[in-house]
Amino acid sequence: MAGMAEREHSTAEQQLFADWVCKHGKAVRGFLLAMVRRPEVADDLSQEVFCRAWQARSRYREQGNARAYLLRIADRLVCDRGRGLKRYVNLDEQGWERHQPPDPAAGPSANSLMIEETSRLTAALDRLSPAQRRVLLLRYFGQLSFAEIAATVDLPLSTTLSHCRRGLETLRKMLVEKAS
Amino acid sequence: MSEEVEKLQRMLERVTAAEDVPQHEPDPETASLREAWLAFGHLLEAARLPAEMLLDNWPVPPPKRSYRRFWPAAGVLAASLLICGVAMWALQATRRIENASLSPAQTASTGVTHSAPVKKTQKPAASVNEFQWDDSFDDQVAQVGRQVIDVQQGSYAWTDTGGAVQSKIEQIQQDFKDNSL
Repeated sequence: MAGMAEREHSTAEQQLFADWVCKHGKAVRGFLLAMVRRPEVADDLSQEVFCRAWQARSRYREQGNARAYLLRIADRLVCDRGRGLKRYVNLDEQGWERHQPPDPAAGPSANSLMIEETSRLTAALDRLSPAQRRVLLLRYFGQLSFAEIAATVDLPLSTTLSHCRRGLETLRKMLVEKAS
Repeated sequence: MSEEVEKLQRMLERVTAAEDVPQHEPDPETASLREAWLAFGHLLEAARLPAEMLLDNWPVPPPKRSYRRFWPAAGVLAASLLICGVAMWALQATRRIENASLSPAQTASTGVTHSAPVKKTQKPAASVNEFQWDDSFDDQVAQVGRQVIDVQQGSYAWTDTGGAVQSKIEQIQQDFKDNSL
């Protein structure tokens, strides 16, 4: 009986983990890609996030919000990586294009559009400070409350809000005013 | 929390709300920030689209192996090995004792020579028994030999005695023939 219950519990946990990958995998990878701007690094870190989340899943049960839990792990991994790898350099536009080659199946116009948007994103992210980037990306991909974001980035709420506002103003200058 | 911070938080929550929530912002600053936020979201979505295929191929890592059953199983295995070892040792000890306690008579009657190798590490008592057995066997052989000799001697004595009687009888018969009696 105990063996059966344990097996059912294990199956339920595996199902939960598969749900995590399906529901939050894209958001986690998107967050990581925007933070590190290297697709292969983002892929590696995404897998690392899910591995760590699986190993420490008991802590998740106490918190409840899966995406917030995963993004906190992702944010910590990015910070650790940034601290550990001083030689780490974000890709510039040419580097991004080299790592994200145009899809041959897509038409030339779609490819050129993608390249253009990627360039704009790279430029926008470069204009943001690291703290602004973290706050905005956690808000976008995790839909975390500002209190949760403040706890994740280990900053006071007022400072977190200030980073968010300044970041948005920078984006407005870059993406809205320039376009108009 | 101060009123300004609360106001700013409410404003930013509206600005950064999910994309599919329709909002009408009377405040132009909030509206422009909202526009910037949406543009930023579009760029993020466009940038991560090509890698979605990779995500679909991710294998779900296997669950961490549970060691809950490992220690009981290891304990059972160790206990089994210990029991087997003790049983083997007891069996060998029994055999050694049986070999040591075989009586000389039994050995003599069966005629089995104890040529089985005796380890040098055996107890001295076992060596004494072995020598005793050998002496006894030799004694018995010697005794049998002596008896055979006695029987032969008796036979010779009997033969000598018979010979004397026979010669007397023959002499008497000769006297009868000669009528010398």
